Parts: sequence; C-alpha cells; structure tokens
Amino acid sequence: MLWFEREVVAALIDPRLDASTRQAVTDYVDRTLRSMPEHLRAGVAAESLLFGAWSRAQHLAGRLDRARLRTRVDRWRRSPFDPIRQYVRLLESLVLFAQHELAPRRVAAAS
Amino acid sequence: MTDAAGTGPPRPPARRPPFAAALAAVAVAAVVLRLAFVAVVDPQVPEIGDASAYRLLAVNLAEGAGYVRPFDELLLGVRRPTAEYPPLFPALLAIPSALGAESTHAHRVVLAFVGGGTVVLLGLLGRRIGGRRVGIVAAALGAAYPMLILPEATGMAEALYAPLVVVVLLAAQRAIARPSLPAFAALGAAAGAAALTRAEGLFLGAAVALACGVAARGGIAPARRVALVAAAAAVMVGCVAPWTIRNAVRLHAFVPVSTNYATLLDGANCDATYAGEQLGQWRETFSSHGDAARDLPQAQACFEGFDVADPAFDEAEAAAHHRDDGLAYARAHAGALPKVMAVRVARTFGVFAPRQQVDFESLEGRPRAWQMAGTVAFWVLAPLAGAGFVLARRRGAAVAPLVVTLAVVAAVAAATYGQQRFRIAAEPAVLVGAAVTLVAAARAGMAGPARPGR
Repeated sequence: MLWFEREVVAALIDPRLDASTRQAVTDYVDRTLRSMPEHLRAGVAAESLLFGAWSRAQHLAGRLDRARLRTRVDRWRRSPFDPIRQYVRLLESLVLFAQHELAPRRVAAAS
Repeated sequence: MTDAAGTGPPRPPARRPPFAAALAAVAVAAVVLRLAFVAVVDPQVPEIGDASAYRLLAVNLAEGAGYVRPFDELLLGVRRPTAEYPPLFPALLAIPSALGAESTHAHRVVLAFVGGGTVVLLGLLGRRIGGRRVGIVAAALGAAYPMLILPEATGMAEALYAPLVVVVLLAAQRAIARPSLPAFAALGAAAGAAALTRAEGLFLGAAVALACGVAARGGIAPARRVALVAAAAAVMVGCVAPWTIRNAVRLHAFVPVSTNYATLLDGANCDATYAGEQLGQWRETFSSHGDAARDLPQAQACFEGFDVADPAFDEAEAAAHHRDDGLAYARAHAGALPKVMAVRVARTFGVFAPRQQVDFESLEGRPRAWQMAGTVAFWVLAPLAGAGFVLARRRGAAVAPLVVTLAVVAAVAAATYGQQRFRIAAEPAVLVGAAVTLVAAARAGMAGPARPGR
C-alpha cells in the first residue's frame, strides 16, 4: 500500500476502534490491494501517486494533517469526477468490509 | 584576397566538405574505433555487476520473463519484480536480444553504433554553440574520448545516457532561442528519457529547464517563464510516471525511478568511506564478511548486500532499510560531511588520488590503462572547456545549460560517492567547450601574430 493510500485508509477507519483493530483493517486493505489484478491496480496506483504528490507537498508545508485529509476525502466523495468518487469508494468499501468482518470477530475473540 | 606577398591573383576560396558529410565521416570513424576497441582491448566485465545485470535484464525482457531481479533469477531461479535499475537501457538492449544478439559481445557491437550516434549529436550541439568547425571538432573529440568509449565497451547505462544528455542540451538550445510551449515540452520529454536511463536525469532535467527558463530570449514575462519551466517539468514527470506506476503495482511502494540510490547511500556512508584511504568512495562488505555483514552496525557494515535467499525478500523494503541506515550514519556524522562531500566531488572530477581512483573504477571492467587515459584526457579538456564557455558566452551563445550539467554532476557526486563514471552528464559540455577553445586557438594561429603598424 502506498503512503497516500495508508493515509486515506487511516482517515476512513472508525476512530472509535482500538489500535490493533485499526492495524488489522489496514493490513486487510493492503492485502486486498496487493491481490488486485495488475491492470486495475495500476489505475488505483496512478490516482494514489497523483493525489499523494500534491498532498505530500501540502503535508510538508504544514498545510495538511489527518483531520483536514478527512474533510478532503469527504469532498472527494461528492466530486463531479467519477474516477475521484470511485477512488474513495473503493478504499471506503474495503475499510467498511474489514471493520464489519474483523472488528466483531476480534471483540468476540477477546471476550 | 591575395597571396602571402600580396602580389598574386585572388585565390579561390578553399572548398570545404559540407557539414553533414564531415560529421558523417567522423561518426563512421567513431564506430570503427569502437568496434576495433571491442575487438582488440576486449574489456571483461565482472559476472556479478552492473553491466552483467543490464545484459540479463535485457535478455529476460526479450524472453518475456518481465523486468525481474537478474541475479535472483540466475542464481536462485526466483523471479522477483525489480526497480533496481532504470528501464530504458535494458529496454534498448532487449531489442537486439529479441533478434538473437544477446551476448555481451553482440550488445557491445550495438552500443558502438549508439556511440556513433552520440558523436553525431555532439557535432550538432557544437554547431549550435560555436558554428560548424566547433561541431566537427567536438564530434572528433567525442569520437576518440575514452570516457565515452568505455561505457559503450563495457555495456553500461552511461552509453545511452550520454546521447540523451546531448539531446537534452540540444532541446535546451532550442528552448532558449525560441521559447515556446512545444520547445519546453520537448526538453521535458528528453529529460524524461534521460531519467529513465539514469535516475539523476530527473535532477538534470529540472536544473536545465530552470536554466532555460532564466536564459530564454525574447523579453518574455516572468510568469510565462515559470509556466514554460513548469510545462517542461510536467512533461518530464509524465514520461517517468508510467514506470513509477508500474513500480507501485509490482513493488507496492513509491519508487519514482529506481531503488539503487539506497544501495549508494548505504555503501557511501560508513566509517570506511568517511576517513582513511577510501574517503569519499563506496564500500561493500558482503564479499569479505558474507552473511555476517548484516549483523554489523552501519559504521562497519557499509553496504552489506541483500538477503535474497530469504523467501520474504522485498526489494523496496530492503532498499528503504539500506537508505535509512546510510542517512542515519550521515546525520550522526554531519560534521564530517563537508570534507567527505568535497572529496567525493574531487574524485568524480579525477583530481583526488587519481591512481587509486582509477584502480577502484577498473573493478567494473574498464581497463586500467584506458581509464587512466580518459582521466588524463579530462585533465586536458576541462581547462579548455572553461575557456571555451567564456569565449562562447562572449559571442552570445547560451552556455548556461552546459555549465548546469557540471553543477548537477558535482551535486550528485556530493550526495553519493566519488566515481568518474558519474561525470558522464558533464562530458558533452566539456567536449563542446574544449572544441570552442581549440577552434579559436586554430583561428588565432592561422591569422598569425599581430604585426606592429598593421
């Protein structure tokens, strides 16, 4: 998983989850992205590199933190450009699936 | 015009061959010289080294195996995607390989013709800077210059990087003379190709584009200059982007061009290269310590090699680990860095412990005597080039991009380690600058000494 994908995933994960569950969700998204067909992964990677380069520059300039990234991701959800909406939708769907599959299982295992 | 005594009939102007014919003759001579060099000198490159890696990468590409780590495939039979070397040079060698010419010798023959192309491009650049004679002299110097011949004869990426640098400089001349979006876009495309051959091409492209933006003629507004430089940078990034995306997909990491810089940083930042006789050089320890090198602290380990036998080996992760080791050592020894960096630059320009430097460089397969000949040739050409830049500048030529190549080479050497091979981006500028001086000296010699009263 690329730097920017990790940042977006961190912004999308439910903040109420504990650190180990957050890590499990991140690992799941990482594994899923790695196992994507390469021609599909290439498009996602291209978007991650494009958005990531700009965000990285803003991050280094102190103009982007995780809270602002969350706001930005919300804005991308409503973007008029379909590829941008789909980018967020892909990562969000993976995060939601992992949260609903992994979090209850981990809670059950802990109890 | 009269004869020497001033009494005879006018002498008809001497017939000179057209520029194209003269340049073609020099190029043919350059190819013949390179083929003879390969046949007679026959440099032997190490079986495990950069030149062998380029050949194996090319053969794997030609056979459809993809861009995989060459020695992992050769020694362990494991196919792992790689970005250790930029792709353009192996892609070039893959063409003859796909046609059946896949031996080291066959590749060197192909590269002899690439060298002929480099000589032609040098001639064109020289003509842009100082006229036809400068073009022909620059081409002739390039035809016989060991520092251009050796990378071609040993199958190194500099053989392709050199002509691409000249293309960048030609595009820069056009961009300065007639600043326009297409001219700067062409500059960016040439720089992108150079970056896909050697990663420092990114810095070279950015620096040359910036110099062109500043030096562009025609009284254009500052905002337009910024836009033109940005356009060149955008095209350069656009050229490199498909490779970066491929790296993201195959290595699951952000690798703009290559992971090789991590190896450089690791081997260049340790005790052995910060003091003593290897000051400013690069050092590996896997050949002396084997796997035990990986248990040593960075101060003693330098570059300890990759644990490729580990089934979980991940090139991008390993590169990040080596990079962090090298940078941590450099940060912890920041006080020594100015001296180390100065020596790295001096070694790259062949003026620090040249005999030892040549011995070190001959380990890559370049014959020692020829490497020394190239070093001495550079000592002769460099001052001539300095004078040539001044002369050309006075005549109104745009020499800023040429000078920038020297600055980029110095910066790259300071950040990595001392190696004359890294000077390749500046060699075209040196050859053209020297040609300007030689032509000016020849003209002054033909004009004869000034006589009192005339």
